[in-house]
Amino acid sequence: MKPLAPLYRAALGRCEELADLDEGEWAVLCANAAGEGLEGLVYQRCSVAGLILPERAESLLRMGYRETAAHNMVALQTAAGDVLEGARRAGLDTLVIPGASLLPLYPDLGCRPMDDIDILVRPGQMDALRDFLSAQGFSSPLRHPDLWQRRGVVLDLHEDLLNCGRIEARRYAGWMDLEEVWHDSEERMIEGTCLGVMCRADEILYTVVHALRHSFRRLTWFFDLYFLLDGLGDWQFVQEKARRYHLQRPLLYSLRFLQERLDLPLSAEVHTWVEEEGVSMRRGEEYLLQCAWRDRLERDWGDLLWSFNISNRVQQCRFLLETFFPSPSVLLQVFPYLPRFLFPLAYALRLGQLVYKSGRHLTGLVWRDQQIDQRDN
Amino acid sequence: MVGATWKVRTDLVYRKLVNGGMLYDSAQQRVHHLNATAALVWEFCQEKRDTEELVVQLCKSFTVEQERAQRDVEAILAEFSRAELLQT
Repeated sequence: MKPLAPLYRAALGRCEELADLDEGEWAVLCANAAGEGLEGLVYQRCSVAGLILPERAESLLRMGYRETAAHNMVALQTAAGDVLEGARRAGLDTLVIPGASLLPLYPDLGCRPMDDIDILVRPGQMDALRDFLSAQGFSSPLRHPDLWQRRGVVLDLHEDLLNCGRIEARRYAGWMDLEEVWHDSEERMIEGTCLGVMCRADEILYTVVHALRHSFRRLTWFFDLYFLLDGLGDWQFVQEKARRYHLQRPLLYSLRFLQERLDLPLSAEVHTWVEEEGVSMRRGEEYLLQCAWRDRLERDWGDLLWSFNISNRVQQCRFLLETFFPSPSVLLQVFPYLPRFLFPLAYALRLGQLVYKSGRHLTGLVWRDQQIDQRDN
Repeated sequence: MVGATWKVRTDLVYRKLVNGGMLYDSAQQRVHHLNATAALVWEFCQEKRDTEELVVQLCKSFTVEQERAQRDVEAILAEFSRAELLQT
């Protein structure tokens, strides 16, 4: 059994397959669940299935579940009730974007952890919303004018999706049309308040790009996708949007992960799209995708993989250059205590970071290949 | 406590969870976790019950003896009261 297989099974509610695990295997499952942010979902699934867990595992998972539930409740009550409803009354339009918007799709509040609440702001209303948040007692950390926090609740404001505003060349690798996103948006009950959210097709596309950009680091994004697909009525709409926004590749990568790594059966039409109608992948791209899945906790292959979505070589180079060396204002956020006039130093530090990371990546690959060779011989 | 009628504070937000529930007190910025028995008592209290009714409901839900249910209900109500979760 693969090390993460019992975790997938527990999180998907296939608890009958876990009855034979011994205490040691439960300890591994708990550690993996904690690392992946899935303690809550696993605890909820096992409890509903009536599975009796070893005492230690039960206690660890229950603690994670309750902590997640408490954090989410405070964050959502604050954001939904106090802030977003108030902003709406003040004439400021917002959409809650994944993950907070997806919490109602999960069995309950303890099943999905979230760090902050991402908010899409209507173009032209950003300054007014900042003033509103400031009046509500929120404050913003140094050089992060879009992050607002109050008593542990963090709101991350966005005026565009997929960070195309901050890093312009990202547009070559796909985009989401803001006018269309606002036009197609809908309302969803989030912690007792009816709030604006993106339509389900847009939430799917946003989630798969987010997972790719962050090198598939968190399994929760795949569970987001699983719950989004679970209640999806119109796959054609998703497919059509993905084609228009040029986001078929990120969509394909995540759907294949669900199918190949989580062993999750996709609906017939989604399966057909993945197998026959989706995009054809190049050899290097396939190799990199397998590396990204395999090394998702240790390495950052996401941006490199995303660059395969650009066919023009010049644009591809610009995308990579701007992603790894963004504009000074973006890069200085990474080094908040570096004085602004020393910004060239930020590029030198960034170059050092990249050389170090690339070295680690290459050594890791060579080391892994050697191990495979030794094993095969 | 016998014969007393109990009603919960209406400004608290209650959410049911597996094996219990959770209460959010926005004024105090506090979250209270309830185990399964306390969550059930809380749900019954939302409908304004007296202690005897709570004991009967608990006996039905958990198939426990009346004496044990009486003890549990009184302990839980005392805890609710100490945490200022009940209306007076």
